[in-house]
Amino acid sequence: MHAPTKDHWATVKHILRYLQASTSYGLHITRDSSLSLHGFTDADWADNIDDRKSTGGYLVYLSFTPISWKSGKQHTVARSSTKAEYKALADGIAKILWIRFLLLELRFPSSSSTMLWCDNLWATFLPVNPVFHAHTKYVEVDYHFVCDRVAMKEI
Amino acid sequence: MIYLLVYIDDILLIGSDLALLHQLITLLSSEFKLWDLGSAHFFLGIEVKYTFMGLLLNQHKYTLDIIQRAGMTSYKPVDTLLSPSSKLGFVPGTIYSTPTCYRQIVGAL
Repeated sequence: MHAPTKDHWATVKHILRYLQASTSYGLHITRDSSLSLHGFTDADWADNIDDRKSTGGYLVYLSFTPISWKSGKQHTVARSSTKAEYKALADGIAKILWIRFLLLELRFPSSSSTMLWCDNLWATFLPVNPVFHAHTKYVEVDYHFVCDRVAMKEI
Repeated sequence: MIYLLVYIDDILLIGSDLALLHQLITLLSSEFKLWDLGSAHFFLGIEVKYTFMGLLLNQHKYTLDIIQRAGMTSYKPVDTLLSPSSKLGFVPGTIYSTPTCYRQIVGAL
């Protein structure tokens, strides 16, 4: 931000031209009696050319309406794509837990586990199969967090 | 059941029982001065439009304001955002002549 170049301005102009084409876009909240919560997470791996940090994100739906989302650069450098995916998964779960508590407070308790989809096969194996544990010690904190929530049937 | 959202001096009431909502509005207006603006059309900068299927929330006016501030109303719209292979980094380049304007626009996004 402190020293924008002409290339940066050209990018901003492109973004504004995209906004111009999409001013009528919005969030459509549709009527639906079932208030089922589900979410998606994804991450790229080391795509930032300056510091090789990964970008991760999540999107949480309440029936057909997206209600919470985030996409951002991860704070630490992931040494494998599984680690990047796992970090995104843990962030997504943290958000879903918060929303589940909020829904409970609003008197709409979630009756079942929240489905969370991610596109990394290894990352989905990990929480249910601790065999890989030895190779993946560096994701330990996130790993235990995710495992606990799956075991508690919240996710 | 009624949900009551308060943001400083804006109140949003949500409920499916219209009579109960009106009862609450009457009760509130006996406590302090308020204007009943009817069904929500604008709340915290977000526009609310009513459709056949439900509600549509967007920031149509806010977006147009930013484009106008950048002096780009006559520019041609594009259908895609950025190419994923865009290589913007800490690369040295020609410094943009009005960085303040740049910061205002980026800050508004």
